[in-house]
Amino acid sequence: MANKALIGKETPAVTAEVKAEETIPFAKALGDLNPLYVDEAFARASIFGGLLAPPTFPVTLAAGNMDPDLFFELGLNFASIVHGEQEFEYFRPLRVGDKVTIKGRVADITEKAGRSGIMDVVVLETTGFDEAGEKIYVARMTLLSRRME
Amino acid sequence: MGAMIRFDSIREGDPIQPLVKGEIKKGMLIEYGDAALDGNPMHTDDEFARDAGYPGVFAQGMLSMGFLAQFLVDRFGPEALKRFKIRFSKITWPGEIISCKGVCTKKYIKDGERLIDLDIHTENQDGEKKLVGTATVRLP
Repeated sequence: MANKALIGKETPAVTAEVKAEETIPFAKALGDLNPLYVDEAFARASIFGGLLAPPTFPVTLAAGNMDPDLFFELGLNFASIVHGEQEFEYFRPLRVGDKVTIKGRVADITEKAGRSGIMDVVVLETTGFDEAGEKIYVARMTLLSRRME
Repeated sequence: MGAMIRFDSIREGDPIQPLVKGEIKKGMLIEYGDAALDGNPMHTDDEFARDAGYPGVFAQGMLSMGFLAQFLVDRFGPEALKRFKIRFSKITWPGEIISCKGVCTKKYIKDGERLIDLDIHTENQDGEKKLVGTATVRLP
């Protein structure tokens, strides 16, 4: 079962820059050709002064920074992990060129009875801060894992 | 991007103009996996997915959530979205035709901001809901 003592545990902060060579293919892969995401000249002339990242890009920005030790410590049944829910809160649009400090936290660990037995429910929260220390976004990922016998 | 919806003109219960994303193709899953740094072969390798007990590859949940983000930004603008939460309720399969839909459930002013809450979802060509959730957006 998941180790509830880990609720509140924080992962070391990492910094990642939002780069056009990552955000433009991301937007195109979504089939989202909003010129604020893919047209540099258009975006530069807009009120934003440059390209924006699509709203779900924070998951990709944090993808390389997931702490594998934390996953191990959580004691989840790896083979059964399912991404059950996802939430974002936004304080401003994420911009290309932002150097984002990402702080992760185990927001909650609960359990629920599912069709195939007890499920562990883990909420991992990542918060992105800009260089001024202001929040840009909070992302909350809910993972479900069927408990091992 | 269409004309932005204004606070004065929207009413609780109003549906939002849907966004039709079209047919999900396996190539889209490979492209998204690469772009999103999501290397899970469940979405790109049919044999891997079959070995795991599925009939074949299926779409990344975050691909569909990206569709819903596009829907909300297209309808309300790039600075409107305040929060957005979804449950990955059903699997999205290649060959399905996916649309994003929403309805205004609440209209209110909070801390000086003109806000609406929405129920949002993606669905296939038969109306089967896939991602189901809620959003809060700020309106002019």
